[in-house]
Amino acid sequence: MLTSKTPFCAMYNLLFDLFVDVMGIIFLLYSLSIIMIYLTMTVLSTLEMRDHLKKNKFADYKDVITSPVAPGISIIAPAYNEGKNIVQNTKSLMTLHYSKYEVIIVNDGSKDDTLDRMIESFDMVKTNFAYNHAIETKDIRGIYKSTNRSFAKLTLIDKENGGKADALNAGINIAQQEILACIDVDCILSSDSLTRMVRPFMEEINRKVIAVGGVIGVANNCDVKDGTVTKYRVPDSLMGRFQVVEYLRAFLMGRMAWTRINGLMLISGAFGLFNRELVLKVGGYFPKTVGEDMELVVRMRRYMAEQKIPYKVAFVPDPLCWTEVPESALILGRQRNRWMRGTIETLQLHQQVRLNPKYGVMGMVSYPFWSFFEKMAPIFEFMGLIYTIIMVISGDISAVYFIALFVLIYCFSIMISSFSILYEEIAYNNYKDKGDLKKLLTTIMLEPFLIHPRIVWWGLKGHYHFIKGKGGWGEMIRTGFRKATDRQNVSNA
Amino acid sequence: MTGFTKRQKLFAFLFLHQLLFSLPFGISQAQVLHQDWVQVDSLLLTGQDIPGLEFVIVADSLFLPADSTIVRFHKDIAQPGRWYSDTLGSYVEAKALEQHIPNEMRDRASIVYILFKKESNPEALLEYLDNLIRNELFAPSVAGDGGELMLLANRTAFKPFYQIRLRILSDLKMIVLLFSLILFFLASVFLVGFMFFVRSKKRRTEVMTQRFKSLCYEPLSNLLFEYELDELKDFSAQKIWEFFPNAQADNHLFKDVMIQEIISLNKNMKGDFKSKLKLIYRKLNLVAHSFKKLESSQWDIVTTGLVEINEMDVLEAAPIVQKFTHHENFHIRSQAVATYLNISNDMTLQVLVHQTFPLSRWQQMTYFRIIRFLTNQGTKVQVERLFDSYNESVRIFGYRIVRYLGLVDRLEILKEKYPNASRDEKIEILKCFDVFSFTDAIEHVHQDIYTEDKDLYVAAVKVLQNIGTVISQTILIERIEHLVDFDCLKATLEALKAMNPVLVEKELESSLKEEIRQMLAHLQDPILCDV
Repeated sequence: MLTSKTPFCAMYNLLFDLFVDVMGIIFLLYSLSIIMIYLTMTVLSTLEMRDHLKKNKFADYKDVITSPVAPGISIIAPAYNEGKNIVQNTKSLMTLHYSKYEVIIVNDGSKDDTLDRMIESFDMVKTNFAYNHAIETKDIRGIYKSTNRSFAKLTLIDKENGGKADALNAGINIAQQEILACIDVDCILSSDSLTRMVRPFMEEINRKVIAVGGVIGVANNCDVKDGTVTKYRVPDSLMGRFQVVEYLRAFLMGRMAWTRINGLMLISGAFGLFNRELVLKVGGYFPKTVGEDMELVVRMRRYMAEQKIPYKVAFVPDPLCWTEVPESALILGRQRNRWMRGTIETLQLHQQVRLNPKYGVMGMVSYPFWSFFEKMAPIFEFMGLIYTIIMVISGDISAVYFIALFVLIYCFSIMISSFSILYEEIAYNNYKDKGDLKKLLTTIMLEPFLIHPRIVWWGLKGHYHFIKGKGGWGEMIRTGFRKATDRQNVSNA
Repeated sequence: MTGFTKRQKLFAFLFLHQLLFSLPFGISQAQVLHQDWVQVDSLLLTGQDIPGLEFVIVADSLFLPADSTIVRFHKDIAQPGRWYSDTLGSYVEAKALEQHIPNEMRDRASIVYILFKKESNPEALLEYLDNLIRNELFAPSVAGDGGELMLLANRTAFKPFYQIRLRILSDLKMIVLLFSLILFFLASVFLVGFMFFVRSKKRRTEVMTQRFKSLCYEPLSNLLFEYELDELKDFSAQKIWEFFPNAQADNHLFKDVMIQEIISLNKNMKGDFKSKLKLIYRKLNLVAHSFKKLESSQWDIVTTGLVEINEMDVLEAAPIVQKFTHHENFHIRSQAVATYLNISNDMTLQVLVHQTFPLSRWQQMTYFRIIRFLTNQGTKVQVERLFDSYNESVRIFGYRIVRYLGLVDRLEILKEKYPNASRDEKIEILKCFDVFSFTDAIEHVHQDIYTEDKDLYVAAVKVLQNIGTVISQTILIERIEHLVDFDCLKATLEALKAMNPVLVEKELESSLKEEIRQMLAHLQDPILCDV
């Protein structure tokens, strides 16, 4: 006799089977999409790199240095507790090969001797500098200029602590030149960085170039002389080496591909050039997000699309800027957590863009990609892990299927990473030592097992912290900006 | 919210997809049952317990006496002559009991199917069984003796129900996976192969280039330093070729390297050496090699050819180069115009005047360098021709050249052009007036001081800072009251302070506007004035 429990069990079995099948298909489609997208990106970045290298052959960058036609640049470098290196870094910025530029160092309420060192080293005095409060910022305590004419292009802003975005906004208010170069003060800039980065602004005729991004190189373990990396070496730690590979992948492949289709949504906060007029129009950086660099680019793009003005976000793949990357898991974890929160916050703020043809490539391609394959990646990967465990426990797993999928993804990850190294070798060949190449290849092999799970975990923590509201995001981020210029209505207080 | 709905849709789609894939299998089983009732009968005869299904045998007899009895049957009180059995759980039992019915009743007896205590017809029973089987709530077992079946099976060759090929083809996930693997494999082979090809080609070229450089360097040095220009003029091409490795005379890469070396030396040398290098270039007929590049379909090769023609001053190439000055490729066009400016001896700058594409800053930078070079050489370049171009960017470039080269004598023309100029042109012209303190233009500047355009206003005020009169001061003092933009206000105060500091003190020192006081403090700060 049939018991009353049996049909329900059968129903649950049916639902479970359905769930397993549906999830299996979803994971498979997700993996397939990633493969297709990355393959496409590889092709696009190859074409873009080829064009860039060809163009470089005919560019005489020496001309730019002295040409009266070249635009002026304001370099803005926020500094917080940078007392140890601030003088050296500022001197390095003062010796860049470009004629029309100013350097604005923003002391963002440092608790160490950053301000004193600057005043002492550059003979600076407080002035009555009148500036436009176009963007709201924390109180500015003083604006300093040097009594030494050799440092005439240097300006020092001393302000209350308000975070990097707030410090950059203070610099933007004071900046006088047409182009803004927003950098991290601890970055090492190549002497010809400005001449190369300014080129897209000077070259374009059909579209307005609103921003230009640059490649960030890993300086750990490298020899640096006169602000330029003279000898490239890969870092000693696995974590450091992983970031070399990751940066090559992100900059030489990812961003080059996005540039090809004018879909670049992120310019690294460590080194990026922006059109000052446009930055002021959209209200500068948004200090309430930790992803201020990405958020600004998206807002600028939105503004141009809303105003129906043809525009371009360019990218220069030449190695021009280097930074020390964190080699400790703790600091790297915090960085990745912050990056993930920044991504989520930016996407949240600009939901209007999602699949909106009005925003062109950004709305239809870049935004969905970032939502699905950057923001959701840790969640999908974690779900995949859970799914696999459930399958193993229930005995429903097909070993052939599982191993094939695993091998596919693993080989694919190795291929993409190897490709980016090969790419670097063809384009620049900075890592000439064969030992370095071997180390990088070993890192590529180990990355999926030793580093990637941690990256996923930090990404998940980023999601969790975003949901918990850690990092100071408010109701406003949930709501998002209805228009690009809405940021101006948001008080920084 | 939208995202949630989309996700729901995705699930719904996948659910339907799954159903579509699973449905044909269910339907085929149901069809088998419908088509052959006998199979159902044999299924029931297996004696398996089917949930909710019971049987009753009903028999009609018109001939039996009213007081007769049949074992395990009861009379129906409501319908005389009708007999019915107890409710039976098994179909086999029902069939067995049917055998006990007397012969005269057997034709009028039938088994009634009771589904969940209700009488049911065979169609409903079929549908019920169909549902049970499709939902895997009931699995029919094979009738017969297991042992016999095994014996039968031993005699039959094994044929798997699901062949692996069929299984793979019917499994969507496996298809997608296979597709991915094949795609990945092909793509990776192609990409890696391509990259290695490019890499090895590049490396080979680099090695060869280095080798050719070393082969060129010594002969070129010998020719430059051991022979006079006149001696070189007397040399035949063959004689010069003798200095170089003969085997490479037809090698394109060798010629490319040699041209690059000659250009590189030409840039760093002066006087006779330049002439010698150009002579060597011509004697070796490398000019033909450069011309050939202009026929290429690749823009970078064409541009390289143009660069070589430009650097080596191949004057006779002007007509060919002119063809490229309106090319749609930015790099070819830029280089062609630059080359043409350099080699054509066209002092009227017609190649620029007739440009239809807007000039980028990059192009302006390149062209300005050439025009400055020509001017420094003593050539009188007719920059004013650019003012009449239909292309606004060319006109603006013309005004810029006036400023950059200090062509004061063109200011009168600019003054004439000013009233009908566009906004951007006016700004450029005002910058010229400012740089040369051109007092004759003050009326024009006064006219535009009431503009609403911020950039134009600032440019005009800056001119007044240099050439302003008492009238200008009065206008600016009046304007201050209406200015709200920070940059406009600052420029105005700066101009007034430069023209008449006493007036500023008198009129504005007591201003209540915080912004104005800040600006005045800024203007009076000695450090800020100094830098």
